[in-house]
Amino acid sequence: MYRVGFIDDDRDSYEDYRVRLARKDIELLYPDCITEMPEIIEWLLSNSIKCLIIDYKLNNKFKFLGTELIAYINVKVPDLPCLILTNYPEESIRENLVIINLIEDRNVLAEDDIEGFARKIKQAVDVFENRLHKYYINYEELLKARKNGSISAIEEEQFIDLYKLLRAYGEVDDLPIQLLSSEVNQKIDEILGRVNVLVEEVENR
Amino acid sequence: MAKISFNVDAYTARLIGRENVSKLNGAIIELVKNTYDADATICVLYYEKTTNSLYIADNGCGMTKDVIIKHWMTIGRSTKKKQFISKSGRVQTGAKGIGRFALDRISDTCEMFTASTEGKLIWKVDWEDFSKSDNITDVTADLYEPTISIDEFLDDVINCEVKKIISNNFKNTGTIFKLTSLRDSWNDNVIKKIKDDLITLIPYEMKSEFQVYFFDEQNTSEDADILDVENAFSYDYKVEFNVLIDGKTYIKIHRNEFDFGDRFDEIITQAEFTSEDERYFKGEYICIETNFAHMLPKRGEQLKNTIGEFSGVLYFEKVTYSKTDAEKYFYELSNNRNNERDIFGGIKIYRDSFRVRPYGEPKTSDYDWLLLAGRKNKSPAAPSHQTGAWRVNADQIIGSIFISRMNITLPDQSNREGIVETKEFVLLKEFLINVIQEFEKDRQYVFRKLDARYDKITEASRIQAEINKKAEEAKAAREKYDFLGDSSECNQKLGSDKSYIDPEKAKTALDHKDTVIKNLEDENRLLRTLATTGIVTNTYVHEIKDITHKLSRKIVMAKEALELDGNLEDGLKYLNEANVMRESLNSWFKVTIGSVTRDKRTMKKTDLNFLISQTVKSWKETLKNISIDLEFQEPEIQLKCFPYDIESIFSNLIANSVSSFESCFSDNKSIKIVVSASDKEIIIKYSDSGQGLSLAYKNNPKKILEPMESDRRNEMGETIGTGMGMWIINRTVADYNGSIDLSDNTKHTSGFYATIKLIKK
Repeated sequence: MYRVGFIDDDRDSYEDYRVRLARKDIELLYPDCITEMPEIIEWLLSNSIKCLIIDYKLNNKFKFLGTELIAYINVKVPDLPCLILTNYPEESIRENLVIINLIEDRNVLAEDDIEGFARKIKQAVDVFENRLHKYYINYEELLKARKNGSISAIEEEQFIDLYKLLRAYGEVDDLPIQLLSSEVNQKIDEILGRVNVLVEEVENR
Repeated sequence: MAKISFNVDAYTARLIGRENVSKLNGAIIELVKNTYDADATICVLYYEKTTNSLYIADNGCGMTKDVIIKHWMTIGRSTKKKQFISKSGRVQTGAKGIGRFALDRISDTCEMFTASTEGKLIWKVDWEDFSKSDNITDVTADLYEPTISIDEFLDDVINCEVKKIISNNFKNTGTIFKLTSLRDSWNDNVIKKIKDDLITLIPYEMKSEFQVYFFDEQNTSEDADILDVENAFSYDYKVEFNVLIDGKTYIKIHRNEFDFGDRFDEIITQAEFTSEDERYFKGEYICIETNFAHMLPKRGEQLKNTIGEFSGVLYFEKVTYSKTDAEKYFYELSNNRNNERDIFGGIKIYRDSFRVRPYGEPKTSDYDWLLLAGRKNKSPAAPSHQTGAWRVNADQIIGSIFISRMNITLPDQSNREGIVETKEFVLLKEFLINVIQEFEKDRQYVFRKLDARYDKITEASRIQAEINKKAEEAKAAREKYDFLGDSSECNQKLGSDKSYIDPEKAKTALDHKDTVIKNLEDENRLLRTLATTGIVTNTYVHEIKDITHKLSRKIVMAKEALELDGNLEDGLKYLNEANVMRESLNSWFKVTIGSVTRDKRTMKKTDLNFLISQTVKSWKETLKNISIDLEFQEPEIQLKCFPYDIESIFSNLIANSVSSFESCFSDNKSIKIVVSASDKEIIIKYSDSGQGLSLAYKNNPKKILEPMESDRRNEMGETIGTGMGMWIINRTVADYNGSIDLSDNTKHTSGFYATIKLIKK
């Protein structure tokens, strides 16, 4: 089953969409009792959600718009596919926060056939998984280069960006970002070197 | 059978041309216009008395041999017919190709020196040849490549300043006409008239783009500069504004439209103008000192001037006016304005003195880039209208907006076809509209005062009263004689003076007019209700869409539960839910189109308690998550009214409240309505727990009652309200001689408050 999140201020819609999408091999998840953006991030990561469907107007439950939430998620979890599902497609388009292809009229889920929409969701999940995989390979190559000291400044930046993404998705261990920079590493090496000297001195005494 | 082609008599062709350019001034303006079309930045006119010749020079693109032969010398054909945009982007305005006839109008002979990118040419024509030849094809002009330069062409010119200015400004291309044997006597008066026409034709601010000089044998460049007098340009209103980087905004408005002449004091007193007004009519500028955020109140008080420093000048001038209006409103009349001005028209943008095209370009879709015409169409009221808001039309306003490279938030498009539509550009447009609104308010203020004065002093009301009185007397007299049975004396008396209209008949005519007005008022009332229906539907179009979506969804769910899952229980559950949606949809129809049923369109004594309860009930069915608390302080309140008027008031108020609830996150969504009555009036106290009026209306809530004023905005800050709802309420209340008090809004930080009084009829 494809795990897809759904953010809406109307739970009734969720129940109907869940039933219909389940028939298309999509498991739709809804965050009950969550109203803040950081909580939503936590929720989607802990549930390994690889695509989000978000309503445009959320003001019955949240203090932000769907498009604002997408902008926030895009910073925190880059590349995570997020779709706007709305009765107000024209307004979402004019706001220019989400590209037109990612804005869907709600009526698609009231049509007899939702195969096209389900295919779009699944493809978005596949794309995201593929990207994560490719990013992981890149990350490992850069990690190797970093270890043997052949990493350039630009590559180092790429490395940290990839780390942020993979860490967000739990593909790599969680470390403070500062620890990934070569300068910090060099300093740690230096400190460790001095500690070794001290330890040797103590042992010799 | 032989085929004989048509031909034109040369003199006739010349006469046709003269029809187009009959006056000397018109001919000169036509040629100046041509120089502008040729992308010139400078146009020099030089009249040399000693040789009785006129030079017209410009540093435009010049003409090639091809253009001279195919276009210039082919009568009726103009390059501008097809090619509207000049190489530097100016929109060419002439289309009839009458420039050459303008030359004919000015002098007998013409010699043209033109330098284009393809080389130099001299073209000579003697217009008298047209009179001598039978066929136009027999008339010839000389065209050859000269060996002399521009400077050498001007060797005979007496005024050295002319040579100097041409030499300094004419780099590679340009055109110079030397017109000799002038047809008119160029005395001082003629020259002054031509200069005056040019001054009033071209705004001072265009100086950076296009300069015009008129030299005589002695004067210097400074004296010859036509555009050196800032206020010579003819206008009705002038608005100058300047916005500083810290947001401080200075607006100066000059009323130049009215001239009370010798009756100044009399008119000021009669129209009840203030002492400040008196100074403004005498030429003092109205100075408004404000800030950027206050100029864009709907954007919130915290709005910073992210555009940077900018300024501008706008001119308003009427295109047409009636003689009656000119007398009624004391228009200052200027004979110098003419329709040639549309060459320079529109509101243009200059960045560091260079035009940013295409804003304000005449005869293009970019002419009205502030969409003033659409604004005017939405509010077509005359300036004298007592409640409607007068809006300026796009063709009545021209001006220049000055920005600089420092305005980095207004970047040029990469194709150099305008400014990128950044947030700041949107703000700039909104700012300009609001500046224009300041002038509109002032003009409308003056017109309303003058209109009221006119009504007060006009004889119409006196005559009306007299007719009524005489009609009564005549009727009484007739009845008296009828009673005495002697009608002959009565008829003799009443018909003694046939030159007067029978007052009774006049009264009949007036009664007929009253009936017509009454019918129009009824029609107006119905239109207002229909407008309310439109407003409510427009306000809730999304909700209605949501309900229809849910309805379709529940039906699909039921279908799939039955077809795919064979689950009868779920199928029934979904159908029941669909049924709720259907009812919800019906309730929307009740509040939208239910208000125009015939029974509500009749004036009748109405039980207000019942009517308002029913209206509120319909709304409650629709707005399930909003509490509406309705309280009647008397068990029965009666009012003679059109029921749909009352419904219209409530529908508009509730629609506004719902919009307010929607625009912010709130747990408390409540509306309170208290209706009470006294012997004379009905008092409706309406309040809601929404976010209240925005800053734009908070301190002056009455402004929201004007047409086109709306507080309803979408998430992007764009106005989406129709701006008609509160105006309709205001008009309806006025029909009942009532009033609306919105002053409570100034006392509360949130919520909307209105006290409406309707006078019992």
